[in-house]
Amino acid sequence: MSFLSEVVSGAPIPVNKRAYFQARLRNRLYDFVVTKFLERERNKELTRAELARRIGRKPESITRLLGAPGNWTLGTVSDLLLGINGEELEPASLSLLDRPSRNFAREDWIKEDSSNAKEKVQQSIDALLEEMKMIPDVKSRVVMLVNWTAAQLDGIARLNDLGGGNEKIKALASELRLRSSAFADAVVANTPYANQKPSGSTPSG
Amino acid sequence: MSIRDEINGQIAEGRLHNLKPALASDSVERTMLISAEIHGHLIGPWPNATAAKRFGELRADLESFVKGENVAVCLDPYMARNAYMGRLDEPSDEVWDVRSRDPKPALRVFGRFAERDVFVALTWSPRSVPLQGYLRKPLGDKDSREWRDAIIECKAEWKKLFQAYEPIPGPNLHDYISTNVFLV
Repeated sequence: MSFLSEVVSGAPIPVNKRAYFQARLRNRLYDFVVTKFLERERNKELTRAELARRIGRKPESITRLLGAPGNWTLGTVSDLLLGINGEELEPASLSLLDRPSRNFAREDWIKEDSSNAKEKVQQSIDALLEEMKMIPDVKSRVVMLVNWTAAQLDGIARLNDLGGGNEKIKALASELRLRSSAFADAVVANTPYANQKPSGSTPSG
Repeated sequence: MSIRDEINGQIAEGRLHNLKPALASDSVERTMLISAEIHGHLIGPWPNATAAKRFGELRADLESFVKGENVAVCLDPYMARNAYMGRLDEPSDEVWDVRSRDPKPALRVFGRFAERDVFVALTWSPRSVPLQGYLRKPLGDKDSREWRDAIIECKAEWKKLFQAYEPIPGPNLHDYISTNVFLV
Protein backbone atom coordinates (compact mmCIF):
# COMPACT_ATOMS: atom_id res chain seq x y z
CA MET A 1 0.00 0.00 0.00
CA SER A 2 1.48 3.34 -0.96
CA PHE A 3 1.61 6.37 1.33
CA LEU A 4 -1.07 8.07 -0.73
CA SER A 5 -3.43 5.13 -1.15
CA GLU A 6 -6.21 6.63 1.01
CA VAL A 7 -5.76 10.01 -0.63
CA VAL A 8 -6.23 8.37 -4.03
CA SER A 9 -9.07 6.07 -3.10
CA GLY A 10 -11.18 8.53 -1.15
CA ALA A 11 -11.01 6.38 1.99
CA PRO A 12 -10.69 8.09 5.39
CA ILE A 13 -7.15 9.44 5.69
CA PRO A 14 -5.44 8.04 8.82
CA VAL A 15 -4.45 10.42 11.59
CA ASN A 16 -0.72 9.80 11.14
CA LYS A 17 -0.87 10.87 7.51
CA ARG A 18 -2.94 13.95 8.24
CA ALA A 19 -0.45 14.87 10.95
CA TYR A 20 2.40 14.25 8.52
CA PHE A 21 0.93 16.64 5.97
CA GLN A 22 0.19 19.27 8.61
CA ALA A 23 3.80 19.21 9.82
CA ARG A 24 5.05 19.05 6.24
CA LEU A 25 3.14 22.21 5.34
CA ARG A 26 4.45 24.01 8.42
CA ASN A 27 8.02 22.97 7.61
CA ARG A 28 7.72 23.97 3.95
CA LEU A 29 6.39 27.38 4.89
CA TYR A 30 9.24 27.76 7.35
CA ASP A 31 11.79 26.82 4.70
CA PHE A 32 10.17 29.20 2.22
CA VAL A 33 10.24 32.19 4.58
CA VAL A 34 13.66 31.48 6.09
CA THR A 35 15.21 31.09 2.65
CA LYS A 36 13.96 34.58 1.79
CA PHE A 37 15.34 36.07 5.00
CA LEU A 38 18.74 34.39 4.70
CA GLU A 39 19.10 35.60 1.14
CA ARG A 40 18.49 39.21 2.15
CA GLU A 41 20.72 38.83 5.20
CA ARG A 42 23.51 37.36 3.06
CA ASN A 43 23.24 40.31 0.68
CA LYS A 44 23.46 42.66 3.69
CA GLU A 45 20.05 44.07 2.85
CA LEU A 46 18.33 43.14 6.12
CA THR A 47 19.29 42.29 9.69
CA ARG A 48 17.26 40.54 12.35
CA ALA A 49 17.07 43.81 14.28
CA GLU A 50 15.71 45.65 11.24
CA LEU A 51 13.17 42.95 10.59
CA ALA A 52 12.11 43.09 14.24
CA ARG A 53 11.66 46.84 14.03
CA ARG A 54 9.64 46.57 10.82
CA ILE A 55 7.12 44.12 12.22
CA GLY A 56 6.94 45.39 15.78
CA ARG A 57 8.71 42.56 17.53
CA LYS A 58 11.73 42.24 19.78
CA PRO A 59 14.97 41.14 18.08
CA GLU A 60 15.15 38.02 20.27
CA SER A 61 11.70 36.97 19.09
CA ILE A 62 12.94 37.11 15.47
CA THR A 63 15.80 34.77 16.37
CA ARG A 64 13.27 32.47 18.00
CA LEU A 65 10.92 32.55 15.01
CA LEU A 66 13.71 31.88 12.54
CA GLY A 67 14.99 28.96 14.59
CA ALA A 68 11.90 26.79 14.37
CA PRO A 69 8.33 27.06 13.10
CA GLY A 70 6.75 25.61 16.23
CA ASN A 71 4.74 28.66 17.26
CA TRP A 72 4.09 30.08 13.84
CA THR A 73 0.60 31.14 12.91
CA LEU A 74 -0.70 32.43 9.60
CA GLY A 75 -0.22 35.89 11.12
CA THR A 76 3.46 35.11 11.74
CA VAL A 77 3.94 34.07 8.11
CA SER A 78 2.23 37.22 6.92
CA ASP A 79 4.32 39.47 9.19
CA LEU A 80 7.59 37.83 8.21
CA LEU A 81 6.96 37.92 4.46
CA LEU A 82 5.81 41.49 4.69
CA GLY A 83 8.80 42.52 6.76
CA ILE A 84 11.42 40.58 4.83
CA ASN A 85 10.49 41.43 1.28
CA GLY A 86 7.22 43.31 1.24
CA GLU A 87 5.52 40.18 -0.03
CA GLU A 88 2.41 38.19 0.67
CA LEU A 89 1.72 34.48 0.30
CA GLU A 90 -0.04 33.58 -2.93
CA PRO A 91 -2.36 30.61 -2.27
CA ALA A 92 -2.03 27.69 -4.63
CA SER A 93 -2.34 23.95 -4.29
CA LEU A 94 -1.15 21.02 -6.34
CA SER A 95 -2.36 17.47 -6.69
CA LEU A 96 -0.22 14.93 -4.88
CA LEU A 97 -0.75 12.51 -7.72
CA ASP A 98 1.07 12.28 -11.03
CA ARG A 99 4.19 14.00 -9.77
CA PRO A 100 7.49 12.90 -11.28
CA SER A 101 9.66 10.69 -9.10
CA ARG A 102 12.38 12.22 -6.96
CA ASN A 103 15.63 13.59 -8.10
CA PHE A 104 18.50 11.96 -6.21
CA ALA A 105 20.82 14.91 -5.86
CA ARG A 106 23.20 13.17 -3.53
CA GLU A 107 25.91 10.75 -4.39
CA ASP A 108 24.13 7.48 -4.00
CA TRP A 109 26.48 5.13 -2.21
CA ILE A 110 23.82 3.65 0.05
CA LYS A 111 22.66 0.28 -1.13
CA GLU A 112 19.05 -0.62 -0.69
CA ASP A 113 18.24 -3.71 1.26
CA SER A 114 17.84 -6.21 -1.58
CA SER A 115 17.07 -9.23 0.61
CA ASN A 116 13.37 -8.97 -0.15
CA ALA A 117 13.60 -7.21 -3.50
CA LYS A 118 11.12 -9.53 -5.22
CA GLU A 119 8.54 -8.90 -2.53
CA LYS A 120 9.09 -5.15 -2.74
CA VAL A 121 8.61 -5.14 -6.51
CA GLN A 122 5.39 -7.10 -6.13
CA GLN A 123 4.17 -4.66 -3.47
CA SER A 124 5.00 -1.76 -5.73
CA ILE A 125 3.06 -3.32 -8.61
CA ASP A 126 0.09 -4.04 -6.36
CA ALA A 127 0.07 -0.45 -5.10
CA LEU A 128 0.27 0.88 -8.63
CA LEU A 129 -2.63 -1.26 -9.81
CA GLU A 130 -4.67 -0.28 -6.77
CA GLU A 131 -4.09 3.43 -7.41
CA MET A 132 -4.77 3.09 -11.13
CA LYS A 133 -8.10 1.46 -10.40
CA MET A 134 -9.20 4.62 -8.64
CA ILE A 135 -8.35 6.94 -11.50
CA PRO A 136 -11.15 7.21 -14.05
CA ASP A 137 -9.45 8.68 -17.10
CA VAL A 138 -7.09 6.76 -19.29
CA LYS A 139 -4.61 9.59 -19.74
CA SER A 140 -3.92 9.94 -16.02
CA ARG A 141 -3.56 6.19 -15.73
CA VAL A 142 -1.02 6.11 -18.54
CA VAL A 143 0.93 9.03 -17.05
CA MET A 144 1.00 7.20 -13.72
CA LEU A 145 2.17 3.98 -15.38
CA VAL A 146 4.90 5.77 -17.35
CA ASN A 147 6.16 7.59 -14.26
CA TRP A 148 6.14 4.33 -12.31
CA THR A 149 8.16 2.67 -15.06
CA ALA A 150 10.65 5.55 -15.02
CA ALA A 151 11.02 5.17 -11.25
CA GLN A 152 11.73 1.43 -11.68
CA LEU A 153 14.39 2.22 -14.28
CA ASP A 154 15.97 4.74 -11.91
CA GLY A 155 16.01 2.06 -9.25
CA ILE A 156 17.71 -0.42 -11.58
CA ALA A 157 20.34 2.16 -12.52
CA ARG A 158 20.90 3.07 -8.90
CA LEU A 159 21.25 -0.41 -7.51
CA ASN A 160 23.29 -2.12 -10.19
CA ASP A 161 26.68 -1.57 -11.69
CA LEU A 162 25.99 -1.84 -15.41
CA GLY A 163 29.04 0.01 -16.64
CA GLY A 164 27.95 2.59 -19.18
CA GLY A 165 24.44 1.13 -19.04
CA ASN A 166 23.55 3.05 -15.88
CA GLU A 167 23.65 6.42 -17.60
CA LYS A 168 21.65 5.09 -20.56
CA ILE A 169 18.95 3.74 -18.27
CA LYS A 170 18.80 7.01 -16.34
CA ALA A 171 18.51 8.92 -19.62
CA LEU A 172 15.68 6.63 -20.72
CA ALA A 173 13.88 7.21 -17.44
CA SER A 174 14.28 10.95 -17.80
CA GLU A 175 12.99 10.80 -21.37
CA LEU A 176 9.97 8.79 -20.27
CA ARG A 177 9.09 11.40 -17.65
CA LEU A 178 9.47 14.26 -20.07
CA ARG A 179 7.23 12.59 -22.61
CA SER A 180 4.73 10.95 -20.29
CA SER A 181 1.96 13.40 -21.10
CA ALA A 182 2.49 13.25 -24.87
CA PHE A 183 2.73 9.48 -24.69
CA ALA A 184 -0.55 9.33 -22.77
CA ASP A 185 -2.21 11.60 -25.35
CA ALA A 186 -1.10 9.21 -28.10
CA VAL A 187 -2.44 6.21 -26.21
CA VAL A 188 -5.78 7.94 -25.65
CA ALA A 189 -5.99 8.93 -29.31
CA ASN A 190 -5.42 5.35 -30.39
CA THR A 191 -7.56 3.62 -27.80
CA PRO A 192 -11.18 3.10 -28.68
CA TYR A 193 -13.54 4.13 -25.86
CA ALA A 194 -10.61 5.61 -23.90
CA ASN A 195 -12.70 8.52 -22.74
CA GLN A 196 -15.68 6.41 -21.87
CA LYS A 197 -16.32 6.20 -18.14
CA PRO A 198 -15.67 2.65 -16.96
CA SER A 199 -18.77 0.88 -15.78
CA GLY A 200 -19.06 -0.35 -12.21
CA SER A 201 -16.38 1.87 -10.72
CA THR A 202 -17.04 5.29 -9.34
CA PRO A 203 -14.09 7.29 -8.12
CA SER A 204 -14.77 8.73 -4.75
CA GLY A 205 -11.55 10.67 -4.22
CA MET B 1 36.35 -1.37 4.96
CA SER B 2 34.90 2.08 5.55
CA ILE B 3 32.03 3.49 7.55
CA ARG B 4 30.05 3.44 4.30
CA ASP B 5 30.56 -0.31 4.10
CA GLU B 6 29.46 -0.60 7.72
CA ILE B 7 26.35 1.44 7.02
CA ASN B 8 25.44 -0.70 4.04
CA GLY B 9 26.03 -3.79 6.13
CA GLN B 10 23.71 -2.52 8.88
CA ILE B 11 21.05 -1.66 6.29
CA ALA B 12 21.31 -5.16 4.85
CA GLU B 13 20.88 -6.58 8.36
CA GLY B 14 17.86 -4.37 9.04
CA ARG B 15 19.49 -2.49 11.93
CA LEU B 16 19.51 0.80 10.02
CA HIS B 17 17.07 2.21 7.50
CA ASN B 18 17.66 4.93 4.96
CA LEU B 19 14.92 7.47 5.61
CA LYS B 20 13.35 8.59 2.38
CA PRO B 21 10.57 11.12 1.95
CA ALA B 22 7.13 9.55 1.97
CA LEU B 23 6.33 11.28 -1.29
CA ALA B 24 8.28 9.90 -4.21
CA SER B 25 8.39 13.34 -5.77
CA ASP B 26 10.45 14.91 -2.96
CA SER B 27 14.14 15.27 -3.62
CA VAL B 28 16.83 13.71 -1.46
CA GLU B 29 19.62 16.16 -0.63
CA ARG B 30 20.95 14.76 2.64
CA THR B 31 20.99 11.34 4.26
CA MET B 32 19.38 10.32 7.51
CA LEU B 33 19.82 6.75 8.63
CA ILE B 34 17.42 5.70 11.35
CA SER B 35 17.57 2.83 13.81
CA ALA B 36 15.13 -0.06 13.55
CA GLU B 37 13.33 1.29 16.62
CA ILE B 38 12.77 4.75 15.16
CA HIS B 39 11.82 3.24 11.81
CA GLY B 40 9.20 1.11 13.53
CA HIS B 41 7.71 4.18 15.21
CA LEU B 42 7.56 6.10 11.94
CA ILE B 43 5.72 3.40 10.02
CA GLY B 44 3.54 2.06 12.85
CA PRO B 45 1.39 0.43 14.00
CA TRP B 46 0.92 2.66 17.03
CA PRO B 47 -0.75 1.93 20.39
CA ASN B 48 -3.04 4.96 20.21
CA ALA B 49 -4.08 7.89 18.03
CA THR B 50 -1.87 10.34 19.96
CA ALA B 51 1.22 8.31 19.12
CA ALA B 52 0.14 7.88 15.49
CA LYS B 53 -0.26 11.62 15.17
CA ARG B 54 2.96 12.45 16.97
CA PHE B 55 5.09 10.09 14.93
CA GLY B 56 3.44 11.32 11.73
CA GLU B 57 4.67 14.78 12.65
CA LEU B 58 8.09 13.48 13.63
CA ARG B 59 8.42 11.85 10.24
CA ALA B 60 7.78 15.16 8.49
CA ASP B 61 10.30 16.88 10.76
CA LEU B 62 13.02 14.32 10.06
CA GLU B 63 12.29 14.45 6.34
CA SER B 64 13.03 18.20 6.38
CA PHE B 65 16.67 17.27 6.90
CA VAL B 66 16.61 14.67 4.12
CA LYS B 67 14.97 17.04 1.65
CA GLY B 68 17.69 19.62 2.23
CA GLU B 69 15.41 22.26 3.71
CA ASN B 70 16.94 25.07 5.76
CA VAL B 71 17.86 23.93 9.24
CA ALA B 72 18.85 26.03 12.23
CA VAL B 73 21.72 24.47 14.15
CA CYS B 74 23.39 25.20 17.46
CA LEU B 75 26.90 23.98 18.24
CA ASP B 76 26.89 25.16 21.85
CA PRO B 77 25.18 22.90 24.39
CA TYR B 78 22.32 24.40 26.40
CA MET B 79 22.00 27.36 24.01
CA ALA B 80 19.88 25.76 21.33
CA ARG B 81 16.35 26.30 22.49
CA ASN B 82 15.08 27.17 19.04
CA ALA B 83 17.37 25.19 16.80
CA TYR B 84 16.33 22.24 14.66
CA MET B 85 19.47 20.39 15.73
CA GLY B 86 21.90 20.92 18.55
CA ARG B 87 25.21 19.45 19.63
CA LEU B 88 24.96 18.20 23.17
CA ASP B 89 27.29 18.30 26.14
CA GLU B 90 30.17 17.31 25.94
CA PRO B 91 30.68 18.63 22.40
CA SER B 92 33.58 16.23 21.94
CA ASP B 93 31.14 13.33 22.33
CA GLU B 94 29.58 14.48 19.04
CA VAL B 95 26.09 13.50 20.17
CA TRP B 96 23.34 15.61 18.61
CA ASP B 97 19.63 15.89 19.02
CA VAL B 98 16.95 16.75 16.51
CA ARG B 99 14.05 18.61 18.08
CA SER B 100 10.50 17.89 17.11
CA ARG B 101 8.71 20.39 19.30
CA ASP B 102 5.24 20.78 18.04
CA PRO B 103 2.79 19.66 19.28
CA LYS B 104 3.31 18.38 22.81
CA PRO B 105 4.75 16.03 23.78
CA ALA B 106 7.92 17.35 22.19
CA LEU B 107 10.34 14.64 21.10
CA ARG B 108 14.10 14.50 20.84
CA VAL B 109 15.92 12.19 18.45
CA PHE B 110 19.53 11.47 19.31
CA GLY B 111 22.27 10.61 16.86
CA ARG B 112 25.66 11.37 15.40
CA PHE B 113 27.08 12.43 12.06
CA ALA B 114 28.78 9.62 10.15
CA GLU B 115 29.86 12.02 7.41
CA ARG B 116 29.00 15.50 6.37
CA ASP B 117 25.28 15.49 5.48
CA VAL B 118 24.89 11.94 6.80
CA PHE B 119 23.15 11.80 10.18
CA VAL B 120 22.55 8.53 12.01
CA ALA B 121 19.48 8.80 14.25
CA LEU B 122 19.72 6.11 16.91
CA THR B 123 17.44 6.75 19.88
CA TRP B 124 14.65 9.06 20.99
CA SER B 125 12.95 10.39 24.09
CA PRO B 126 9.98 12.57 24.92
CA ARG B 127 11.20 15.97 26.12
CA SER B 128 9.04 16.91 29.09
CA VAL B 129 6.00 14.67 29.34
CA PRO B 130 5.65 10.98 28.55
CA LEU B 131 4.22 9.81 25.25
CA GLN B 132 1.30 7.61 26.16
CA GLY B 133 1.94 3.97 25.30
CA TYR B 134 5.75 4.17 25.41
CA LEU B 135 8.13 3.37 28.23
CA ARG B 136 10.76 5.95 27.44
CA LYS B 137 10.95 8.53 30.21
CA PRO B 138 10.84 12.28 29.58
CA LEU B 139 14.24 13.98 29.63
CA GLY B 140 13.27 16.67 32.08
CA ASP B 141 15.74 19.33 33.22
CA LYS B 142 19.08 19.73 31.53
CA ASP B 143 20.99 18.22 34.43
CA SER B 144 18.71 15.23 34.81
CA ARG B 145 19.74 11.62 34.92
CA GLU B 146 17.51 10.98 31.89
CA TRP B 147 19.47 13.43 29.76
CA ARG B 148 22.73 11.83 30.79
CA ASP B 149 21.36 8.35 30.14
CA ALA B 150 20.03 9.38 26.71
CA ILE B 151 23.48 10.56 25.66
CA ILE B 152 25.12 7.42 27.02
CA GLU B 153 22.56 5.26 25.22
CA CYS B 154 23.17 7.05 21.94
CA LYS B 155 26.92 6.52 22.24
CA ALA B 156 26.38 2.86 23.14
CA GLU B 157 24.11 2.29 20.14
CA TRP B 158 26.69 3.90 17.88
CA LYS B 159 29.38 1.65 19.32
CA LYS B 160 27.25 -1.41 18.65
CA LEU B 161 26.87 -0.47 15.01
CA PHE B 162 30.20 1.13 14.18
CA GLN B 163 32.76 -0.18 16.65
CA ALA B 164 35.82 0.97 14.76
CA TYR B 165 34.49 4.29 13.57
CA GLU B 166 34.04 7.59 15.34
CA PRO B 167 31.48 10.22 14.39
CA ILE B 168 32.88 13.12 12.42
CA PRO B 169 34.22 15.97 14.54
CA GLY B 170 33.58 19.70 13.99
CA PRO B 171 34.44 22.33 14.85
CA ASN B 172 32.65 24.29 12.14
CA LEU B 173 29.02 24.18 11.11
CA HIS B 174 29.81 23.23 7.53
CA ASP B 175 31.85 20.28 8.72
CA TYR B 176 28.49 18.72 9.53
CA ILE B 177 26.03 20.12 7.01
CA SER B 178 27.10 21.54 3.69
CA THR B 179 24.30 23.86 2.63
CA ASN B 180 20.99 25.36 3.72
CA VAL B 181 22.07 25.56 7.32
CA PHE B 182 22.55 28.46 9.69
CA LEU B 183 23.59 28.99 13.28
CA VAL B 184 21.25 30.18 15.98
